[in-house]
Amino acid sequence: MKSNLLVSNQNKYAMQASLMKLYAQYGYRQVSIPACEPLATISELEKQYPSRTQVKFMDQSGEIFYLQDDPTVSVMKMLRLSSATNIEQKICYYAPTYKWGHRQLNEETQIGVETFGKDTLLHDLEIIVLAVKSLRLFTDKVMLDIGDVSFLETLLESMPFNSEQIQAIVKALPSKNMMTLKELELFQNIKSQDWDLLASLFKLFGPTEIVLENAKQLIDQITFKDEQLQVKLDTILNQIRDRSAFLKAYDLLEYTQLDFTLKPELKYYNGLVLKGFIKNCPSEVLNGGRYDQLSTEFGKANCAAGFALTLDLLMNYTEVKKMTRKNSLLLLETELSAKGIKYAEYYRQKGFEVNLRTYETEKEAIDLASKENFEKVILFGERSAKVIDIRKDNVQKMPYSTFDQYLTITDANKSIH
Amino acid sequence: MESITFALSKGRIAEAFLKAFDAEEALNSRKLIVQVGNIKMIMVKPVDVPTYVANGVADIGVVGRDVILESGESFYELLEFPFSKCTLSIAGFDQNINLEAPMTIATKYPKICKQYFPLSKTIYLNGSVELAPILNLSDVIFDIVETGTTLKENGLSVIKDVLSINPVLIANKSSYKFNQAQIDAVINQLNERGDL
Repeated sequence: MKSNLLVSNQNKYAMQASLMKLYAQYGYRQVSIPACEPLATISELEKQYPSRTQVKFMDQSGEIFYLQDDPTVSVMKMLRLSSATNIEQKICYYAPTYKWGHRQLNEETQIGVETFGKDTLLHDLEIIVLAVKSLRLFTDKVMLDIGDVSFLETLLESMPFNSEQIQAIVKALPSKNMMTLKELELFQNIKSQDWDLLASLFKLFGPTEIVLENAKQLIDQITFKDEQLQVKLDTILNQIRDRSAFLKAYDLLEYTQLDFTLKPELKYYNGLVLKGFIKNCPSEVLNGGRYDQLSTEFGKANCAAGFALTLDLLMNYTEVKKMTRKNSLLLLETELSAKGIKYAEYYRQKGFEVNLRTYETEKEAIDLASKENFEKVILFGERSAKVIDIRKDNVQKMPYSTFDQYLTITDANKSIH
Repeated sequence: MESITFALSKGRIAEAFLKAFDAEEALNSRKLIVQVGNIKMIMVKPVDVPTYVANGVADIGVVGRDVILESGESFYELLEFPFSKCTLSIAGFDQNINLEAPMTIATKYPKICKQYFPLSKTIYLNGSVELAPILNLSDVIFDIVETGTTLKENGLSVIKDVLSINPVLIANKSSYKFNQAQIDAVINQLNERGDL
């Protein structure tokens, strides 16, 4: 839901800045995502995963372009241009995205991370941790559903169902309702023990430890024609068990649950699948997973995982915490003077964000500083400066000789790009 | 326990559930919101139940599967009810019509119809769908059949039963994650009734 209100945009920026700061702490480097790209650059991908919601247009030369709808694809293209293989990269971005939906053009801001590299357990764990932490920046009522496409596909392959039946099962899984299958001709002659297997499959979601136990029991019920499938399933379960132990070490396990019935909408996911929810928001705010195959589509094999969250949804269903602008000064004089200008320029060169204004009363000055989230207010008198620290609620009056050396920057003001 | 909101289709479904929750007196009033313990029941048009649940305004709802499928929205389907069972069927004059070949189908359910008959042309009608083949607007109709009386009285007959329809308890996926205890309590209460 796009808002043109200044306050909404400021809130959006504040959320964006919090998220980018979080990703920077984990070593993610911000990149710019193009607003539109030539359709020809994704023609092979378009054939495999055609999109009904992509917004396309033609330029004056007749070339077809599309508006940005999936920044992950743009990031993949950037990596393709690099000559290195098996790249280790950690990238974050924010980008407006555009899709057709309900007969209108929808614009949403997506913020996401992508990680590339060989250590899939570590990267999967980090992606999950960042997904939960991203949502927890704004609310405690968070739930991250974690699935595994590889586990689901191997499980279905091991079960006594043909490909048509598997297609129908996969279609029914999102609703968690097995009863719809009983109505189909395809399932009229299914044995009762096979219905039991299906019933167990449809219940493979919930708290991690319980689902892992149920998954193990389901595997034990299957008669495997190919032992390798059982080995694969046990291996995946063990990896998930290990990962869950690490999630517990992060104190984040309680914000996650396993859901082996999760089947992502985009077919290029090949392992981990994520869907993040916050209370009171009717749909998921975060989607992600592992998509090693996608980079192969761009001609370069690369292990890849990531997620994107829809900032607009997050904004509409959470409260934005007020962010103090670090290293920000509001310099106030009763009348504009050379002294005020000199100090403003001096502190700007030192790296502070400085706003120079005139004022009438001290109360008005403090109210303005609080409203605009300044860190400090400085009131210039004839012989002294009064420094008011808004956050610490602390006031100090000092002669200019002391004031000149008083303020130091705590960290450099970082560019938003 | 936090309150949850339950969207009920006005008509037979609302009657059945208000009785199940001992809130029958609401049947005689025009109230659209009825509070029963920690459940806020809202009475809505059947076609609007998916909208309320999809938007999270209602945590759960009960409505026919035909409405759910036609809405195109995705929910958890937690319970099916055996009452008011009927079928979505193809009906017309010609029992030997080739259903695999392209034809013109009149229906209130264009989305569902397109899924089962992708080669056919679909004409949307809001009601009295049986008129369409009679007046040569379509070859056949795709519509709900209960007893078949309406079809018979208009000279039509069922050519093929396509999909069984019954009321389903749906839940908003996000709501279910944060209100699972309350929603499961409602399901247990309904299961204990046994008469739904």
